[in-house]
Amino acid sequence: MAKGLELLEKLCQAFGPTSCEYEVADIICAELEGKYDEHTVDFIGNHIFRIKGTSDKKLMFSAHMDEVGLMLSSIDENGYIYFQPVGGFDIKVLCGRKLFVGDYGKEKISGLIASKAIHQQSHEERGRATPIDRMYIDIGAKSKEDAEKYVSVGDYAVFDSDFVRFGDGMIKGKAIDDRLGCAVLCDIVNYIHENKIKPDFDLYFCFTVREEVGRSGASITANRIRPDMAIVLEATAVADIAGTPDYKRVAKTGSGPAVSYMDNGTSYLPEMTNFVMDLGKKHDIPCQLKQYVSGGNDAGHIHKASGGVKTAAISCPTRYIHSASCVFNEADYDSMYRLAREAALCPVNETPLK
Amino acid sequence: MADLFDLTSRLTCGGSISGYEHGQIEALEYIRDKYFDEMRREPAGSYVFIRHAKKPGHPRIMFDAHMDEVGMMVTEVLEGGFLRFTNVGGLDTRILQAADVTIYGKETLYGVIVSTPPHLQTGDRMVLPGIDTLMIDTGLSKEKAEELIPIGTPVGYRFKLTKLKNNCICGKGFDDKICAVAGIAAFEQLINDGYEGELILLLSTKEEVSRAVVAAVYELKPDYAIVSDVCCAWVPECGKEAKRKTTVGDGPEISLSAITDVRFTKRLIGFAKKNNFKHTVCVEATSTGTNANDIPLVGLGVPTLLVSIPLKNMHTYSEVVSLDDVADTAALVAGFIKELGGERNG
Repeated sequence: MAKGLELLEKLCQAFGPTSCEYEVADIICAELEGKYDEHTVDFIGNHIFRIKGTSDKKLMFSAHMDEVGLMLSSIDENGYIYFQPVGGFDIKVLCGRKLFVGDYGKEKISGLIASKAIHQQSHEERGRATPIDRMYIDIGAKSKEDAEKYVSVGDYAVFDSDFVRFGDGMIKGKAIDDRLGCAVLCDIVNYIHENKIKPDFDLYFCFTVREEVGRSGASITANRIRPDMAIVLEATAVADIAGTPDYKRVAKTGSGPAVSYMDNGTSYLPEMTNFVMDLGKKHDIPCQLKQYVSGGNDAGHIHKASGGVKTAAISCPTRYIHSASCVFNEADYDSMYRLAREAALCPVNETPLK
Repeated sequence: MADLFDLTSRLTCGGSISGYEHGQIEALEYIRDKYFDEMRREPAGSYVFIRHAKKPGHPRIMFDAHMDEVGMMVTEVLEGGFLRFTNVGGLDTRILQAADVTIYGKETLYGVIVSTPPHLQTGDRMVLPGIDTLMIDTGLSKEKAEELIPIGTPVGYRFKLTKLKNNCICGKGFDDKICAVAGIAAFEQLINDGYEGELILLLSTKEEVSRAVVAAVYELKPDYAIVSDVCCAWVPECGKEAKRKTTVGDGPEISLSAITDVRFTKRLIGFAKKNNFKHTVCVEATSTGTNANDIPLVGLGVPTLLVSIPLKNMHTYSEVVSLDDVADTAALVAGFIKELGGERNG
C-alpha cells in the first residue's frame, strides 16, 4: 500500500467528530513534525502548517479533519443512550450500526445503534425507516447508573468500521470525508520535504474543523491567512452505481478526482476550474468535471472570506459517503495527490494570479 | 466451563445461510473432535453429533439448535459488478443500506450494500427501498464478478464479534448458534460430571426457511427433545405494560405451549424452581415460532420442550446476547438432563 494510504487508514480509524478533531490533529502533527516553517493552531482547533515560498503570493490548501458523528443526549433508566446527529446523515444507514463511544482522552467503548427487532414491529412500521428519536445506543449497560460509569451526556459516537481493500482497487472505510483530503495534504508536505523543494507559492496547508455542521472553521482560517488563492481537497458523494444515468452519477470512480464548477455552496470562477483541469491535461493526470450540482464543501466559506479568495475544489469520487462504508478507488487517491501537488508547485505566473 | 466467547466466535464466523450451513465445517469438526464420538450430515442437511452411552439404560436425549442464519442470495450480476439479490429468511430491511457483507462465491469476497445518495432520493425519505431494488457493490468489473459469483451464490452479513459491558456480546448469527453454544457447554458439563447416557446434539438445517429439522429427528427417534432458540428480548419500545418482559440478562426463558409438551415443560419449570436455576417463564399458547412446533409430531412423536435465550436486534448483524444467559441456560439444561438420565428406559 502506498504510504499515503497507510496514513489515510490511520486517519480514518481516528475518533474525530465535529469539535472533537484532536485525535486526527495529533496524528497529522506527528506526521508533519519538522517538515514546515511555521505551525499555527487557533482557539477552535484549526491547524495551519506554512512552507515559505520564493514569492509573496499565498496559496491555501484546505481539508477538514472532522467526520459525521453522534452526540449523546440522554440516558434512560434501562441504560439505553439517546443521541442527536452531528452532521448530515441519511438515517437509513444508522440502524444496527456498530459504534465507538467516548470523547477525546477517554477510553472508547463499543456500542451499537439499536431499536426493536423486526419481529416486534407493527405492520405499519415495517418498510419504513425508524425515526432517529426512536433509536438508541446499547453498550450493554444494565441501568442509568451502570451506563454513567462509562459514558456521559455530551460524549460522542462514531462508526466502528475497518479499512478494507476489495474488488479491483477499491477501498472501504469510515470518515473518508475528509481524512482523504488530510492524507493528500500530508503527502504533498512529505514530498516537498523529501525533495527539498522551494516552491514559488507561499504555501499554507490547513487542517480545519467543524465542516460537517456548516459553521466551518475554514472561514476563520482564511481570514487569518488572507490567501491569494485557495484549493479545497474533499471527498464528494457520487451515485456511481448500476442503473443510474451518467448525468446523475456526479462523477465516476476510477476516472480521477472531480473538479467542481458549481455545487450547493459555491459557483466557482471558471478561471480556477479551468486552471485545475488544464493542469491535469498538462501533466497527464486523470481528472473529470463534477457532472451534477450537488453537495458543498469548505470552498463555500473560503471564497467569501477575507474579502474574497479565488477558490477551486478537487474531490475524490466517493460512494455511500456519510455512512460507515464509504467506498473510493485507490487510483483516484493517487491522481488527486498528483494533481494537487502540481498545483502546489506551479509557478505563480502560470496560475490565474498572473 | 467451556470458553463461551471462543465457541461463539468459531460457530458464527463462517457462512451458514439456510441450506449452506456446511460453510461452518471447520467449527463442526472442532466440536466433533472435542466433545463427540461421531458426526454425520443427514440427507436434508442437518448435522448430528453423538456421544455414545457409557452404560445402557439411559433415555436418549437430543438437544436441538438450528445452525442456519438469515442472509441473501445473488440473483443477477449487473454492469459495474453490482449484484441484485433476494432475501433468505426474514431480513430487517432497515439495516441493509451501506452494510458490509461477505459473498461466498468461488472465492470469499467482501461487498457493501449500496445506499442511495441524497440527490437521487425523491418522495418520502422514510420509505425503505425494497430488497429487489438494492444492490451489492463488489468493486469488480462485470466480467470478473460473473466469473467469481454465479447466480445463487449465498451472501451473509460480515462477521464481527464485539464485546459490550456486563458480559454482553454483539455479532451476527446468534440466532441460533448461541443456543448451540449453550448446548455444547451443557454437554461438556455433563461429560465432566461423568454422565453415562447417550447425548445427541442436533444442529439443524433451514429453520429460517422450511424447518427441515423434522428429517433428522425422524431417523434419530430420541426419547426426549430439548429445543433451544433465541427469543426477542424486551426493549424500551415494548413499553412498561408489555406482558412479556424477559430481557437480556434475565436468564433462559422457558416456553409453555399447548403444541410442545406442557407436562414435560412443567417438569422443567418445577426442577428449575426447586434447584434455584435462574429462569423466566413465558406462554406461547399455540405457536413458538421455532423447531419446537414441529418436533413433537415427528415419527411416533417426541416429548419436546423449548428453552430460549433472550436476544436483541434479531436477524441483524448486531444481535446482542449476554454470555451470562448462555451459561445459565447451559447449567439448567445440564441439570435437567442429569435428572432425566436417572430414569430407567422403556
